[in-house]
Amino acid sequence: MDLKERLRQLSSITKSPWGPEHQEERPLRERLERLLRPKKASHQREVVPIENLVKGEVLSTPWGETFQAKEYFPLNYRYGEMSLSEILSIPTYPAHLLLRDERLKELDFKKALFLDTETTGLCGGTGTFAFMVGLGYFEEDGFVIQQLFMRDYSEERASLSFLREILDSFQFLVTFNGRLYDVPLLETRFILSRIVSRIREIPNLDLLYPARRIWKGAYENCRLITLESRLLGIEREEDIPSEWIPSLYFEYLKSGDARKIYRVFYHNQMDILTMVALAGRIHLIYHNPYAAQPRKGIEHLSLGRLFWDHGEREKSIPCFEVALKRCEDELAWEAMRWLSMALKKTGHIEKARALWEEMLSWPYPKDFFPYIELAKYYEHRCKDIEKALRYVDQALRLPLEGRPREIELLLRRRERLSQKKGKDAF
Amino acid sequence: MSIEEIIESWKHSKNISPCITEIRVFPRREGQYQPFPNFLHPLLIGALRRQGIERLYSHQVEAIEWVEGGKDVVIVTPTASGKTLCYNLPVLNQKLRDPASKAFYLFPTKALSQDQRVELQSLIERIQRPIRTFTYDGDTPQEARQAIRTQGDIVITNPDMLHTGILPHHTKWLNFFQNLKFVIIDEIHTYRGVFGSHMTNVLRRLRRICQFYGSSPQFICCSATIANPKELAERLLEREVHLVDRNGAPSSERIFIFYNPPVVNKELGIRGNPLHAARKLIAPFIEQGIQCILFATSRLNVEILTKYLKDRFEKRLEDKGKIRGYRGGYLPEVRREIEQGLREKRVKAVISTNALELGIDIGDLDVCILAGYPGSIASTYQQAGRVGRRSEKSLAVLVARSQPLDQFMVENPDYFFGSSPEHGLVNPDNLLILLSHIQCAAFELPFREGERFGKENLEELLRYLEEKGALHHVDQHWYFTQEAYPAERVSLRSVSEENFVVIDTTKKKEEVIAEVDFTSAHTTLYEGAVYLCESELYTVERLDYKNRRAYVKKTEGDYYTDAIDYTDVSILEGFERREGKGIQYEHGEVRVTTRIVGYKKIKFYTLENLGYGKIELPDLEFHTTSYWLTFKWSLLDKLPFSRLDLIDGILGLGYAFHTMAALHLMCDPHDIHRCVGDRGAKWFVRLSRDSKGIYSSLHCSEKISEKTLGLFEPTLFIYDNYPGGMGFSQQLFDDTFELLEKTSRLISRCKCQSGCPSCVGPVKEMGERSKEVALSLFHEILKSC
Repeated sequence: MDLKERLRQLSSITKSPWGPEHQEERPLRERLERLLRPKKASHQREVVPIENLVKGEVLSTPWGETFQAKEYFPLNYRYGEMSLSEILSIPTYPAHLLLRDERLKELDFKKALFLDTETTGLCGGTGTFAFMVGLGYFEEDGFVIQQLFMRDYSEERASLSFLREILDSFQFLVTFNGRLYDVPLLETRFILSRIVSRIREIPNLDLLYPARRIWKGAYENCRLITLESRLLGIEREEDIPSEWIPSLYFEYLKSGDARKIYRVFYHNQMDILTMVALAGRIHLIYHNPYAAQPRKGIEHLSLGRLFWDHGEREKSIPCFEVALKRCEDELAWEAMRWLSMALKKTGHIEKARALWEEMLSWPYPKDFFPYIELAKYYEHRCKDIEKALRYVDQALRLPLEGRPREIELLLRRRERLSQKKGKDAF
Repeated sequence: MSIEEIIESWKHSKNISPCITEIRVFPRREGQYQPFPNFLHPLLIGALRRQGIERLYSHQVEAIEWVEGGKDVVIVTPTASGKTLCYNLPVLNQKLRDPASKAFYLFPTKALSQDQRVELQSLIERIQRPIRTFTYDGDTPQEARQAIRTQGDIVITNPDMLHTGILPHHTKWLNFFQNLKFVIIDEIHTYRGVFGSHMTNVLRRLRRICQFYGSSPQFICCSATIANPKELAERLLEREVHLVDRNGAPSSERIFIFYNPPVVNKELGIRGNPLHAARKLIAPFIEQGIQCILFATSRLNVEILTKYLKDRFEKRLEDKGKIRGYRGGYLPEVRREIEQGLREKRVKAVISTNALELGIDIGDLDVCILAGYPGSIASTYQQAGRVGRRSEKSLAVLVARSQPLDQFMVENPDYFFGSSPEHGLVNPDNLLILLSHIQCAAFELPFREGERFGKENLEELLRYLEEKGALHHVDQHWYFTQEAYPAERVSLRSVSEENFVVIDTTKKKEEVIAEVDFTSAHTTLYEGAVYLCESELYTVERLDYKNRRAYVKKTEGDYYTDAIDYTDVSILEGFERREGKGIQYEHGEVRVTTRIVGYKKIKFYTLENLGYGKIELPDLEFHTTSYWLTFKWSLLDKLPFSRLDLIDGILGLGYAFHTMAALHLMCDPHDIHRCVGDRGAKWFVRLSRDSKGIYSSLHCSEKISEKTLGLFEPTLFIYDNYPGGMGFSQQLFDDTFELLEKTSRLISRCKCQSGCPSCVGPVKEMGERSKEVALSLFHEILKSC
């Protein structure tokens, strides 16, 4: 038996359908196939190459050809709430604080390359290719989006060698989840093509991290596409879901017909523009939380915490205040906790006390926080041990379960206070 | 009392003495030593000296010298003969010469990796050089992985991790692969059958990647005693491997005793409970404070025995912790603590599964009791090797169960103590396995035209995968074109991709407890089946065949289930044929069609049949390799039996032959299946609920009449129970007469009257005369030999 025959038989083992439902299915499928075959065949004959659908050019390199599309956007182009020139003119950007990377202190969008790849799979590993590398950068009079596209796997080396040259002329990268995804993936591609690249060393403003800090919990998730529509209010015209992209590319590889894959160019372009808009939005909200008109209380709360972490206390208190005004009941407790602690630590202890007392009347207490704070307040500030003890006892009567550690701490506080009380009386 | 005195008392005991079938004494053996080879780095020699090692065993020096000469080596010496130094020394020596050099250590299990790291680490500490060793497996935290990849010098891992976690991400290991000098593969005897066939392919992929980075590592392998270590190593590595098997380590006087519990049910051939016997035998040693280890064959048995012995020997407070259980599933900290307790002699008796069989360091014990034959001679030696390294005298006792293999061993001590008969076999070019790994390899690096991978025509396979849309061919390369990560779908421990998952619904939260390959699922996961996992019993409540899921619940029954299947085999192509006296045997390719019609409920221990259930599942069909043995009428006509009795005899002979074949092939009995039919594959013997009969093919319920039996040339098929075959049948073909002889011995030495589960199978199933007929058949076949 020859190899082919053996393979055919083997595969019929693992794939062969069992059971009666399949037997009934077969005639229908045969009928369908008979009906569809002629149409399908004529479809297959017509092949439209990518060059006919996308404005671009074939690049020649010492390692063969590859395809590139290039598009210009004037600086007055508005995408989201800021124009490109406004984004470009941002004087200081908090990137180094947001990403905890000192090298980003010098970030200048004129020297930054926005990068987003389209790949043949989402799981990573050496068998995943970046068949498209979308790049965006500012020039004198506009913003350029340049997309390197492999018309086949054989064009990878040419594409990558081109990419390497472009990378060399930029000091910064701007990505969305690029630290964990796009950059390692491209690094792997470079190694496999035996090209030396410094892609990993380029300081990378990965917008996913600040986006998560500010908008986590505000929307259903923190994907770029979600932020684009829900936060920036941008609607795409004819987009394709990202999950489809790998199979569209495989289909294109097989048939050479670009009539589906060409839409990925639009998709990728939108991703890059959204990254630009998101970078602007983060800047705006960071420097002027009011002007940016955050849409939800949670954004203010997150921002307040961000400022607090960055040591900008005076900026964080107003954020917490707005958060408390705007947010839903569930978040109010958190907002009050943060606001009161911020007030306490900035010397506004009385304001904080008022908040804690307000929290006491909350119908669904979430934890012992206000009781403990009030106990501390009365013990240390007012030296009123009696009153402090009363708050601890009240806390212990709360219908809160499953907090053994906290209850233990409360009991310890109670013991200490009781001792102190005894001593005072003595 | 000393060990010797206890043995003496056994000899005089009315109960024990008749059960002892063999006492072998192996005299004390002096070690053979050699000085440190002069190419060893002074720092390394200094470190060994500080450890109290002034010279090496002869086999260690031999191995190190071959490695120094650039050879790939396989070392075969017993447990605890210092084989880890055979690879640790060359690796560290190389590291001291060239600080950039790297090494992979591959162990079949995670527990072993941990233990080896500790040992290696302590040697490195004595060298006082910054050599970094890490384990890298499923338990390694994500955040630690990058540092290991970039900074590790020696990375200890397992084949599954290499397959799914390292090779598909080789670019992250750039520096490691560029400098990879050694690959250590310990316990290579575990890489046989399906696992071994996958392993060869994983190594093919590893070498392909090394080539990409311009390195070509040397391989050092270690194996337990099997018949063909060199052959197995060469089939795994696919190149010449040098064998080192002259053990230079000393050993104390060793006594080996075979103990066969008395027959309690003569008719059914059931023997006394081996756990009970093991308890009785171990007691005097615990009383005397002699350190012992008791191996049980399942986790459940470990727990039962531990409980019994704790109840008896830990009555006083100061005795607490004297008796410990040990098995997979215990937390790593607990295991480390028990191991340390054993080394420090605080723990007096440990009851373990085979988890302690491999090279985990627990020091030297005095007595080892095996409650049940561990399944292979190699494992038996590994377990018995736990005792008698430094002490004066040591003892190992093998307690037999009723199973055929156990009985064969205790009744044939010469066979056991002779040179190892077990063959580790692999078939890396099994098409399904090969195809899976070609996809994994293409994911790792595109295939170039003209490249080689395995022994089949690679280009044809690549074209096939291209047609299926898995690969894309352009510019003389084949590229991977699927979204999914291929290694994730390929389990190194099964053949087909389409595994069934077993979901435990006992608790509120459903939990996946096992994966079962497609073929086995049919005979183990039908609704009503009792599924055994880690010695726990589960009942299958629902089988979602389409989505490949089985929903199970824990149960406490006293029975297990055995599927009743009807199997048809049709011969597609014979590869080789030979004639014997009245027989003809062949091996080749067959199509196997199996219909599972029902199941039996069988009581544990007594193997009593408690009832039947019905199963409705689609037929299972696959192609595989098979061995078949035809009994000619010229032979059968000579014998004074009716035709139906003759068929019974052949069924019984097949039952015993199957057992011996599994032993010979060192495989699980489920890895091969048997079936009796006629050579033309028109008629098959069915064992059904009430009767046994001969029927034509599956789709016809017509029973053959006794008169027409003359047309039926009975043939015993033993086929590989994996699509594509595992290479077992060729070995059975080559060793037919050796196997027939052993099978004959198994049956003739069995003390039952007319058949029992230990030889030709239960009388009720095989017929009254099965044993008698089988023996007459052997008499004729083996007469002239």
